[in-house]
Amino acid sequence: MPDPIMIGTALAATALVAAAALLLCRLLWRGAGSERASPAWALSLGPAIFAGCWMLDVRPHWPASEALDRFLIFLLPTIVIIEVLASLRRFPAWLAWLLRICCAAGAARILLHNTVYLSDLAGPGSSEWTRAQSLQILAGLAAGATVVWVALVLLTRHAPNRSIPIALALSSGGAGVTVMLSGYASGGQLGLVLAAALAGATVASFLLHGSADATSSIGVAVMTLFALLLVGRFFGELTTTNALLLFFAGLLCWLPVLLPYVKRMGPILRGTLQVLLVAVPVAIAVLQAQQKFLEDFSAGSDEPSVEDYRGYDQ
Amino acid sequence: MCKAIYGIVCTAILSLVIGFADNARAADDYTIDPMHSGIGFKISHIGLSWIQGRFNSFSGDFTLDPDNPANSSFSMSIKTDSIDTNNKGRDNHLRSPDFFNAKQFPVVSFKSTAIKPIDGGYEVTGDLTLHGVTKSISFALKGGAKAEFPKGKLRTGFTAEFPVKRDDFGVGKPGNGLGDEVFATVSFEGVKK
Repeated sequence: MPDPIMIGTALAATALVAAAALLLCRLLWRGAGSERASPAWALSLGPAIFAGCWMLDVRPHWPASEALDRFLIFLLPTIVIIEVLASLRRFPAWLAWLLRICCAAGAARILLHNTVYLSDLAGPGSSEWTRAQSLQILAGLAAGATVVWVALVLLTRHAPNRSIPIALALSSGGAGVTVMLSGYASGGQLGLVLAAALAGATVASFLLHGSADATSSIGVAVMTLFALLLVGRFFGELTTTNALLLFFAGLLCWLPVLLPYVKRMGPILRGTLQVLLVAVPVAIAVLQAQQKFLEDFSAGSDEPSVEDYRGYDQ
Repeated sequence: MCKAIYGIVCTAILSLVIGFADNARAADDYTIDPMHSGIGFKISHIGLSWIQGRFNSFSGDFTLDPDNPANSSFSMSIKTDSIDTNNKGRDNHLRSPDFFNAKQFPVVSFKSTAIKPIDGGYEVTGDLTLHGVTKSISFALKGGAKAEFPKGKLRTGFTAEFPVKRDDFGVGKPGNGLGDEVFATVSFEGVKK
């Protein structure tokens, strides 16, 4: 983990970029009437995530030989473009859904490209998964990404509320910390950056009337979280349990909308409940990762942590 | 008649001797014996001490041509996930994309491109591929003594020590209390095929 001042500055800058971009987009699009949903959220989150990663030195390299490079160069811009297209009134809704599903289905394959899981990198027959296993795992990952993306877009349309991006910010921040504690420090920073971008855009949305429609933020947030957890699980030491807890936590936002008694609550109470529900699995994942980190790293002694080492600069 | 037979026998013996001598001069192929070899490294920790580590899984081959060292060759591959610094948490971190990215780049490989004899060994130049980056490095490979161990198995051994700059191969970010130069020690025995 880098210097806390540096990371704090980068996250503050990320939030500011997201907020400024959202305000700018809303001003430019106001009254245009050419869109069915606001693309402002997607257009603010994309550049903010890129800027935050850049400031934290998580920069894409070309050729994109590593998973995070491929996410920042290919996937993130693709998701932003899909969400902008999906927000346009003239763009067929079925095509927007098809693009979302294709993107969700292909993301894992892109991120795992040319790794020991899928390719014989250490000699003939050395890939860790057989062809059948690869198909099953990639299909499972594709299904998971699609379900969460679709479910949260539907929820945002059904009951628009800023609590959904706030809940996603919470799970992204938790995922960032968990991935860091799971042995992949720079990868985990992506989660913190996403959390900061979502927080910045959410705060800015309060300043503008009609900015609660965060539909276009869902794709960016869900797929960035998906990429973060995938790299943490398959390139770091993130456990499958923690990855599942963090990724599916957002689905708990549906509960207050579905439960008969709770759904009659006011939007603020319901939104607060949504965020609190998401906080539970996120807290469990972070605590589990912290416990494992302490066991693996210092065996309970008072030795310096990995943050101490990485934060040290003469 | 006797002279003719004598001539044939002499010619045959001479041919055998020449043939044997030719064989002795031919290049010898060896396979690295991992049990009697090691690949270690050390890196400066905040300028105070050295953290030491090793790779536990590697393999390689080499060919030695005493008469024409330029025909000799060395190749070695190391599994990055076999890194061992005697701390599980640190090893996991070193395997992650923060350093080696063992799932994306599972092998560190070296293949010689030029060899010339020096006092007590060879100067070896070759391509080192680490973290997906290939760069040419040179080092002195000392050794070359031969022994039979176990009986009937001819082997020879070499040792090299050389620095590798992390930054050249994009392994980890500069600073963070770790030196840029990693000092590698490679010591190996090869069993003649």
